[in-house]
Amino acid sequence: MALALLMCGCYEDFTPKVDTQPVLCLNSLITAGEPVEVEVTHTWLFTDEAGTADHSVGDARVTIFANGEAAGPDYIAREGDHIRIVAESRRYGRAEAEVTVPYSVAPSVVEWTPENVSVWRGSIQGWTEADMRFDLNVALRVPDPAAAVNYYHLGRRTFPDDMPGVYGHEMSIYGGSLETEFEPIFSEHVSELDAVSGNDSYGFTFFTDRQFSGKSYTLHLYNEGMSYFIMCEGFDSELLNCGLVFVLSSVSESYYNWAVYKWNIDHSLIGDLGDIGLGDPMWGYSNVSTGAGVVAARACSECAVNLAPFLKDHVGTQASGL
Amino acid sequence: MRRIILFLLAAVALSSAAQKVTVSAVDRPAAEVFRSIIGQTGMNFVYSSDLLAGIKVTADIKDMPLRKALDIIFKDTGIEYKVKGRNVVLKKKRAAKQKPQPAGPSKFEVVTPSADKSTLLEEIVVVSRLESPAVETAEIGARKVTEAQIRNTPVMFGEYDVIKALHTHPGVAEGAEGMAGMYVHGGNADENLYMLDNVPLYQVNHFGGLFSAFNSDIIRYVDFFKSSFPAKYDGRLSSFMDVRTRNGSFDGHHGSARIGLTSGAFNISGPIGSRTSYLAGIRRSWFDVLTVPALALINSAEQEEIRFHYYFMDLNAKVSHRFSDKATGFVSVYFGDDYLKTGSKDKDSESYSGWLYEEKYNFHWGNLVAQAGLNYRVTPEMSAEFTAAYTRYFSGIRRHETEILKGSESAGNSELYSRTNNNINDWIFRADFDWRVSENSRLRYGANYVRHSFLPSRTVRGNRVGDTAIESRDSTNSYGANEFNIYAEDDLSLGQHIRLNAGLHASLFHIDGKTKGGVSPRLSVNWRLNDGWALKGAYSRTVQYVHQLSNTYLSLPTDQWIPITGSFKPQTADKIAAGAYWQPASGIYAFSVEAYWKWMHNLVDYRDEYYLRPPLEMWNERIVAGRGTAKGIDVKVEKVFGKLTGHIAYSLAWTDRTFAGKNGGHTFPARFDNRHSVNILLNWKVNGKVQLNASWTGRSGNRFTLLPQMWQAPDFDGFDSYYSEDAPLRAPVNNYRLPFYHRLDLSCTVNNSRGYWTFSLYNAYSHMNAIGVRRAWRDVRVDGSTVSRPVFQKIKLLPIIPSISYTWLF
Repeated sequence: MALALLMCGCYEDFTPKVDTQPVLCLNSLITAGEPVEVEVTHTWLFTDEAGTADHSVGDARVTIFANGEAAGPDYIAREGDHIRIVAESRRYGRAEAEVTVPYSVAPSVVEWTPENVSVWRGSIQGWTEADMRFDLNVALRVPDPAAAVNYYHLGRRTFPDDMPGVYGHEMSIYGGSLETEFEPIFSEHVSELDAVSGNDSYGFTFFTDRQFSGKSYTLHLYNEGMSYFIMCEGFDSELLNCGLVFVLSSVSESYYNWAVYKWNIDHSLIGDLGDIGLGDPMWGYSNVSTGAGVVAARACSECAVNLAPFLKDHVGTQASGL
Repeated sequence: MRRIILFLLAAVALSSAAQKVTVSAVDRPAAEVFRSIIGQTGMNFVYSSDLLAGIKVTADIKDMPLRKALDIIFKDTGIEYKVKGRNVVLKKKRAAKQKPQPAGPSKFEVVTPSADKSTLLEEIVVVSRLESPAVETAEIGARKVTEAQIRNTPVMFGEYDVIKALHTHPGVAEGAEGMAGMYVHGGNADENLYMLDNVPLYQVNHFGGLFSAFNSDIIRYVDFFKSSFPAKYDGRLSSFMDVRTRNGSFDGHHGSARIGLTSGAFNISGPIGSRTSYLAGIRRSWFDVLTVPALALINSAEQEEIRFHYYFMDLNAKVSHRFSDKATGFVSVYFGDDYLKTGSKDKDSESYSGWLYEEKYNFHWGNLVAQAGLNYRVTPEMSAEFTAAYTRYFSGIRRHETEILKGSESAGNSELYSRTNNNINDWIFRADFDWRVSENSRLRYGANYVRHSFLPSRTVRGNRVGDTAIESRDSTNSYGANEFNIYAEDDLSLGQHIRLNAGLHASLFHIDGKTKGGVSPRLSVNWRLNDGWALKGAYSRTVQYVHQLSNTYLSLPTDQWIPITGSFKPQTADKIAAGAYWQPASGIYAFSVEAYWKWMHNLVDYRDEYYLRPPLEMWNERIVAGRGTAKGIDVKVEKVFGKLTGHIAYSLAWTDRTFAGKNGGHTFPARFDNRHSVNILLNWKVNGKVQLNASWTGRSGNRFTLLPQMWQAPDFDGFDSYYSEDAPLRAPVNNYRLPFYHRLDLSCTVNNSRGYWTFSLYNAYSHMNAIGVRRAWRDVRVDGSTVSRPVFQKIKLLPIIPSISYTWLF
C-alpha cells in the first residue's frame, strides 16, 4: 500500500533559480600506439535547448604535453607516457587533465573447455555440413605487475575477421555472450544493496587487481551460446581455424572510474534513489579540472582460443565418414 | 505482612486535577473506573494492593472536575485520596498522619492498611526524571512524552509513533517525509540513542523507516533529551531517548486489541499471584495479507508468477516480580523484525525446449533484546537499578536465482546466489544508583560494561553453470570491542533559586588492540526567578564510538553499524545551550525559548564518488572524517491542560558540514538544514467521548544537490550504445533548497463503552510536498509534431491518506 502511495507521486515542471557558468569539457581516449585525439566541447544548462544541438567550441586552443614536453598533432602515445592536455577558450575558460598510459599485460589461456555441445550434421553426399551450438568455458590468466592499483578491461571478438561465405565454402562462428555473473571479479563494483536488488554486472568487464595485486589471477570466462557453422564441398581443414580473441586492456583509473560511474547511473539502486531525492545524486565522473569530460588511456594485449581441435573432433569425424 | 503495590498506569505529564471527567458506572470495580479516568486525564493512581478489594463504584458524572468526581466516587468507601501533581494517592481514612513529602519526582506517599504509622516509600519502579515542569528542572531541551501524548499526535495510517510525536517538538526534524527518521539539532540519524528499558536499540525502524519499532501501546513514558544531557547518557552525539515500558497490572487481566489498516496489535497484562505480574504485547503489519489477493489477481493473468510477502512485527513480553518492599525485578524480551520475501517464477513446461527461471530474495532484519533487571531500595534514600542484557541487531539478505533450460540445443542449468549478513551482538551489564543525599542533593551514579561483537557486512556470492561452480567471499572483518562507562551526576539545589545538574561521564572503548577514551563533562543550571520564570544554561560534551553508514535517506537492511577503527577517532560534540522558561502558578500555560550552539568533531560520511571504490574494500576507504556545526533557537508555547491543549513550536536553525573529501573540502549546508520550522499541535476534548487532534507542520525545504549543467559523455569502447548519454556536471553539495514544506494531519478519537475508534487524515489538504528534483524529458507538440524537451521536475509524494482503526479495551 505504501509502495502504491509512493508511486502515485507526481511531477511538476519548474525552472529552478540557479546560477550556472558553462565550462570546457575534454574527452579523450589515448591508446598506446595511436595518435592522441581530443574532443573539446562545453557544458550547457540541461534545459538550454539551444545548446543541445552543438556543444563544440570554435575558439579552443588545445596543447598536448607528453612527459612534460609539448607534443605535435602526430604524436604517437607510448606505454608509460604521461600525457597532459590543456585547452583554453576565451568564452569558456581553461581546462586541463592528465593521464598516464598504462603498460599492457599479456594474458594467456590456461584452459578451455566446451560444454553443452550439440551438433547437427547435414547429409549431402561429398559435402561437409554441420551446425554446432556450445558453451565455452575459458580460464584466462592475467599476470598482474606489482604496482599501486591496476585497472583492466576485457574485450572479446571472434576470428577470423573475414569469414568465407561463398556457396560451397562457407563458415561462420558466433561468439555468444559472456556470462559476466560467472566471474566474481566483474561484480566487485556491485554494492550489497544492488546485489540483493538483482542488479548484476550486466556485461560489465572492467576490473581491478585489488584482490590479486602483483600476482596472477585466472579469469573464469563462461561464453554461452556460441555457434559454429560449416558447409563446404569436401572438407577444408582451414575452415576449422576460428575461435575467440580475448583483448585485455590495461586502462587508466579514469577509464575505469568512468565505467563504474556509468554502470551505477544506469543500473544501481543508489543512482535511482539519488534521482528522486532519497539518496545523494551522482554527477558524471570526471578527471578534468572543470569537472566535465574524461581523459583516459589504455594499452591492449591479446590472446586467442583456436577452436580447431575441438571442431575437428565433431565436424571432421563426420566429414571423414562421408 | 505489608504488601504494597505501586500501580502506575499510563501517565500524562503536566496533567491536573482541574481536568474534567465523565464516569458512568453501576457497580463497576473501582480499578476499572480508575482506568477510565486515567484515559481521560492521564493521572496516576497509587494505592496498596488490597485497598480496593471488593469496592464497587456507582456514579453518573458528566464533565465534572476531577476532585469533585473523586469525592463522589469515594463517598462512604472509607477511602480518601490526595492529588499530588499527576498522582492520585489513595489510602484508608483511618491511616495515620503523613510525613511531609520531600520534593522530588520519584517518591510517592502510600499508607498501608496495617501500618501504624505513615511510611515514606521510595518507588521501586523506575519513574521519569522529568516529572516536574521544565521551569523547575535543570535540564534544557528535555521532555517527557507519555503514551497518551503519542496517541494524540495524528500520524500516517493511524500508526501512533513516539518518534513522530517528537517531530512536533522544536529542534527535531523528520528528514524525508513520512519516515520515522530523527535529526536533532542538526545531527545525523545515527546520533540518537534509543534505549528500551535501559538497553540500547540499534534498529528502530520498520518498513524502510515509515514506522518506528516502538509499540506505543506498551510504552509507559519516554524521556527525551536534546540540548543538555544528564551524565547517565552518552554514546551518541545529538539526543537520548529513554523508553520505559509498562509493568503488568495487579488488578486483574486487562488489555487491548487494535486493528487498523496497516497493522494490528494485541496487549494484555495481569497478575500472576500476588507478587508477580506480566505484560505481553504484539504488533504485526497486514501487508502480506493485503497483498495476497492482489498478487493472485495479477498472477492469474500472467504466465510469470510474482511473489511478494512483507510484514513487520514487534513482540514485547515482561514479567515483573516484587521480592520485597525493597526489591522488584523483571525479565523482558523485545523482538522486532521486518521480513521481506520477493521473487518471481516463470516456466515453460509444455514445449520440448522448456525452461524455468526462478528468483528469490529474502530480507530479514531487526532487533532482539533480552534483559533482566533488579530495582533495589538500599536505604530509604538510595535505590539501585541493576541490568543485564543481551541485544542483537541482525540483518540477513539472501538472493537465489535458478535457470533451467531443457531441450537439445541449449540444455543446462545455472544458479546464482548471494548471502549478506550484518550483525551486532552486545552483552550489557550495568548498575545505576540514585541516592538522595539530602533534601537539596540527589546523586545519580553508575557504571556499565558492554561487550560488542560487530560483523559490519559479510557477503558470499556464488555462481554455478552446469557442473562448474565458483564462490567468492569479501574480506570483511568481524570485530570484538569492549566498552566501559562510568558516570556520576548531582542534581543540586542551592537555595531557593538555583538548581543545577553537574556530572561527568567517562568511557573507554577498546578495539583492534587500541583503546580510545572520552570524558564528557555535563553542567546545566536553573536560575529560578520570581513569578514562574527561570533562566537556564548548560554545557554538554558527548562521545560516540559507533556509527551507521547509509547511502540513502531510507532505513534499509543494508545500512551498516560500524565501530570506530583504524585512524578514525571517536566522534564528539560540544554543545552549549541557554534558555528562558515561564509557567504561571496555575500551570495552564508554559513558554520556553532555548538557544544552542553545537560543534561536532570527527564526523564520518561517505566521500564524494565513494561508489567508485569497490564494496569489498574496507568501509573506511569509502568514508571521510570531518566536522559540523549546528546552532539555532527553539521557541515553544504550550497549553498544558484544559479542554484544549497543545503547543506551537518554532525553530530557527543552521547546520553545516565540512569534510576534506567532500565538496572539495568546502563547508556545505547539511541535508536537513531547515532554516524555519513551525509545528502546531492541538488536542481538543470535545466531551468525554470525542477528542479531536490536529497537527500542522511547516518548514523550509530540505537541501538538495541540484545538478543543472550537462556535458557530453565520451564515446569510449567497452560500453553498449546506451552508455552514450550526457553526464551531469558536479555542483556544490546541497546547493538547492526545496520549496517550503507544509502539511496538516487530523485525527478524531471516539470513545465508546468497549474502546475507541480513531479516524485520521494524513496530509488533510493533500499538499504533495517536493522531496527532490529530477531531470526529465517531456513530449510537447510543436508545429504538429511531437518533440521531447528537457525539463526540471519537482518530485512530489504522499497525498492525503485517510485511515481508521478500532481499539478494544478489556
